[in-house]
Amino acid sequence: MSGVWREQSVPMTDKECALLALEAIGAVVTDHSETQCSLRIGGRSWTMRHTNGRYAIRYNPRNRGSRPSWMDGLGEAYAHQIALKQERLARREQVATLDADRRAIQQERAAMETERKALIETRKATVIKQAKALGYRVKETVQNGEVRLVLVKTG
Amino acid sequence: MKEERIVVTINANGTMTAKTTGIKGERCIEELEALLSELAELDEIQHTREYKEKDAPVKNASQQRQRLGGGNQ
Repeated sequence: MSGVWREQSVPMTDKECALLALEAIGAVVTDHSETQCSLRIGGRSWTMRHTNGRYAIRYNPRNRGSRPSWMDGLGEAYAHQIALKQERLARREQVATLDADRRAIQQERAAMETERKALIETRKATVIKQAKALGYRVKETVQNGEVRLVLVKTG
Repeated sequence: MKEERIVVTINANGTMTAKTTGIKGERCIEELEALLSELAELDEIQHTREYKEKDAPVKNASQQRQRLGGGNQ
């Protein structure tokens, strides 16, 4: 084995939770549209963009020390906001007496699930495309919602 | 025959992991970057013994793949 990489935090697929998480870590959102959000944090301006199925604030990871410390806090804050949203939706569903209210809650939960699935599909398709371009053969298996892509190059 | 292998796992919550085998030296990072840098920040790649071994010299430098690079901010 020569290298192992693990993604540090859950990708941000829910815009509402992403904005609340940014607020929780002290970011000031100066402008936002459907796919882009300008913010200031740690004395710098950053842009959060919706790309490849997630909201991301990108930096150069190969430049040592470039990962801002607040990024770790953002991952935790987002996971917390997602948990809060799930709880909020469950509580609202319990007390909803009108069918219309219940349907709206179910639609909101379905939208979150759609975003999660879209992220996985986007990631899978991108990895397969890049792998083939790099000359790898790709074998895909899916088990319990986990996608495993085995890329092999011989030569 | 030399085999290079990368196993990419996409978990149910969307997070990814990648493990390489048979890829030595800097090429390990280059391959992961070329494969995944569009999708995530490749910080904290844990290097194993094989990473520290030098890869066989490349006969024709012009055949080396250009690295695609990391994040953009």
